[in-house]
Amino acid sequence: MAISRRRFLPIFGAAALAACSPRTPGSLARGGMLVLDWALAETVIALGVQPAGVVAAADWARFVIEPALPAGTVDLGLQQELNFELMAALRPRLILVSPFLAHVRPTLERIAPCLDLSVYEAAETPLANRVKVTRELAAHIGAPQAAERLIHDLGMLRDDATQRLSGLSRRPVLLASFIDNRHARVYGGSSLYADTLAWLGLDNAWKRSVGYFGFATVGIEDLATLDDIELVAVEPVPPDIAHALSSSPLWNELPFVRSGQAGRIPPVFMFGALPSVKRCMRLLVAHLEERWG
Amino acid sequence: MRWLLAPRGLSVVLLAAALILGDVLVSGQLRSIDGAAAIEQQFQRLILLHATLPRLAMAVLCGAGLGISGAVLQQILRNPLAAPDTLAVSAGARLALGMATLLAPGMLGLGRDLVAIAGAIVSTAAVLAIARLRKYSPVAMILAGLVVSLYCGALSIILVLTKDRYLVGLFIWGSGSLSQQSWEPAIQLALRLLAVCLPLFFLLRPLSVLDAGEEAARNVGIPVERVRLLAVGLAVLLAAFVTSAVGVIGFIGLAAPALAALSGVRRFPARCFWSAVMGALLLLVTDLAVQLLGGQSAAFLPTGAVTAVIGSPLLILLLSRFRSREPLAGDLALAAQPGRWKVGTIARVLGGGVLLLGLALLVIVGRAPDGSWTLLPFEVFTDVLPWRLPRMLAAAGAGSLLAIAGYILQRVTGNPLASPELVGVSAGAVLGAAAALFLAGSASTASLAAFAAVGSFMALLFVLGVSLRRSGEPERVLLAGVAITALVDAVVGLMTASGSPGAVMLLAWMAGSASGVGLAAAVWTVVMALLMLGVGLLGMRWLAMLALGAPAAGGLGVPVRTARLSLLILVAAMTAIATPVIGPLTFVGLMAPHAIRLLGVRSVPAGMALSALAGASLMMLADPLARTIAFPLQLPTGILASLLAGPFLLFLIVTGGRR
Repeated sequence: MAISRRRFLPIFGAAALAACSPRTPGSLARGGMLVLDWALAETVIALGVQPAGVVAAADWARFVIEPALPAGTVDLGLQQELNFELMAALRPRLILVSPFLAHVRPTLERIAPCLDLSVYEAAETPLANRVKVTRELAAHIGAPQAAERLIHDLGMLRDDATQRLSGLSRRPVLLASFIDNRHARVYGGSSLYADTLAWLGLDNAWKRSVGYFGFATVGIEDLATLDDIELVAVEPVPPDIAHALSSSPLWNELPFVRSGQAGRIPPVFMFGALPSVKRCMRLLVAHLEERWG
Repeated sequence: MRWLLAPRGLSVVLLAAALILGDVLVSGQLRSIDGAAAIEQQFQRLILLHATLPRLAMAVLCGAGLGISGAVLQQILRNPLAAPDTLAVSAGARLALGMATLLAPGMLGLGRDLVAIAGAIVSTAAVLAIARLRKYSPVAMILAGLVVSLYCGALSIILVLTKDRYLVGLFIWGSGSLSQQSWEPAIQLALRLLAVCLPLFFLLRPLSVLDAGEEAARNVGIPVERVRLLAVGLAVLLAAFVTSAVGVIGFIGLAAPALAALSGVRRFPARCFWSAVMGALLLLVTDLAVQLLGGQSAAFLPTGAVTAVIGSPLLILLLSRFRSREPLAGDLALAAQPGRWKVGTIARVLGGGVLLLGLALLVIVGRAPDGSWTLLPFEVFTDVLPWRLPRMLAAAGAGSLLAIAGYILQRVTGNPLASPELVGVSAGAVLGAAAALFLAGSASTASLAAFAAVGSFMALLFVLGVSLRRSGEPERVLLAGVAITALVDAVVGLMTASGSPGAVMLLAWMAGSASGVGLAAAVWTVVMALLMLGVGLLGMRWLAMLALGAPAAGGLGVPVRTARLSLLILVAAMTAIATPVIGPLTFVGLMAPHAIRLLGVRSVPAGMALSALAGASLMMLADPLARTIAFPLQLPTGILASLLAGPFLLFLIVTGGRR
């Protein structure tokens, strides 16, 4: 034991000391902004700033899609297992984090100053909270005008949407993500999309309670209702769901299924910020207009 | 007919519970029919007919299938604690489903259940192939099942991490929801179960004869090996069909036959029958309770996870009554000498140190931001090395801690299969952390560590309570570990499926946090490893004596109780320090001491020191791999170490640890 300690402690110690000697400040130019939360990342991009790196960038095109990730954005690894050495090598000047990364924040502060913006507060008004966070973020990165433009555009889009929907025969909308051939997620309460539905003047068909993140996992039989609703499934939809539903006598007897009031829209990031709201509104309104027109 | 009375009584009680709960559930649905409009009445009837009733039928079918499967497996493995899960049925099915979902989603269109069945068959075949080389010895089979399960689990984690952050479906499947929308799956399952039960029926007699012993069975002309293999295959198929239909339903396959046996059923065919009845009723009652309770809250409550949470205490109860039906030959030899430092030993330790330094050089191998392989350029030394060096040091420290813990545990329990990971001490640490997150509501690193230490110590006490009562039964300790590990799986599954925010933190904690560790913390881990090695070496005489067995050690003047307790407190402390750094799943604690033994080291001090070096070396090999192979993604070091160690472990099982 004595021998092994004698052999490896001093050597590691020397190496560690060499490695951790203070770097000379200002010797290298500080780079861009690293974003460790997708909702913040899409906001940053919508504000016209290109982030140097985004967490789990490889999955962006499947889940967030819009706004597209600018070419050359570095993938910073998994949220659970951040690639710290890569982040350090990029020499950022600012790191944007969410409260879910609070436990690694002291670690991140070793790389660059961090800005913690709480997108997922269990607020009564998620949409208003996103607007607030967007303004805060814009103030920090010096793009307040871009933020006002984004918020204004969203308002315009909403006015246009409500006007287009007002002439149609409207029904309560049930937004659902199918998880497998027997389960789905539904959105309500404090979820961004329940709030968006309300903002559009639409009625959310899911009235029962939901969990902390604003969604509930339910068996598909729990979607059964006699009400005259419009089911909107958000893609991706499991490949075997069509068979599972069509072979269910219960499902086929439901009034809204019999009158064909079920359809799907392309993927929308369910835990996003204003750009995702914009995408959701655009896809949803186009879909509903087609159904109800 | 007297033996029928007890199981009858028990099943009547369960049946009554099922009827009462079922009545509450159904009458609740029917009450809303009275006085409602005609269309509303028709709607409620539809729900009852096509959702509630098929779900209850499904519960009965799944429970019966798992009950029979467990009864047959226990008969063949000669082990009242064997169950479908012991043979890696569900782990293989889960891995196959995950792979299909992520790599070839089109395959799910062909049939989600077929994919799961294929996975279950492959993983079980692997277990059987390994066990075959050891003539299907019960210990080898259970150990192979455990290792294959953990291995499939590690692969599933890597798959989820690298391919899909939102693979919720796999978590729901892993916690067994009975939710139904039509009769089709229930009818399909009924037909499949029937198709397996028919050939099984003809095996009842030859399997019963096995009660009289293998020799007796051979003498009356029964091809024992072939009957065993066929019956195991059919039992696994039963469990695979159930699992593919509804997901993982924990513990029914174990609890049902156990209840049948406890209520005094002796003959094998009767045990099969009552296992089916008990399994069906147990699952039915649980599911009814889940439906009635779950209806009140927003949280999604999968039945399979609930049975697992309820079932673990039952398993613990059973462990205290467990008696092996067949004496087991000492499987892996544990000879040790009190020993002194010899020249050869010192040379080996030096060699190990040199190897460690060589591995340390891997710290400069890595990948540039664009993904190309490169030796760390000098300009970014000060940026990158403060991240790479500590994580390697911390992993090495934690690896040697676990290796020392494994070495001590194997000697104190006289059990060559003991290790912090396999006997559930690491899982206890996870349970402690989960308790901190959910009961106390706090999540600071310090409180997590404290709770983890308490959790691992309690798990250790439990395992000890089990193993010290009767020594020389390695599978008792293993199964205690299986019980705790299953409980952890169930708790984590429940949290994740219900979408609670604490689950995110727990999963991150479980994966291990070596990636962001600071230099001070890393050095602390290494210093602790050296310190603990020193403390452990103080007990080397005890360790050498204890391996001879308690009576012999006592005769040689060892204060057996004090010695055991103090060594085990040491083990718990080491595990609690190491688990947050590299996660609960590494196999290092099992592998390192055996690797050293295979090198021919027999003396205690050399064995312990070299085990520590081997543990450190494995982690220092895993660390650069975890950093680079999926770049820019970094994988948890502990999981990667377990993937590296797994094949070696299987080799160990196959050879029985002999050279």
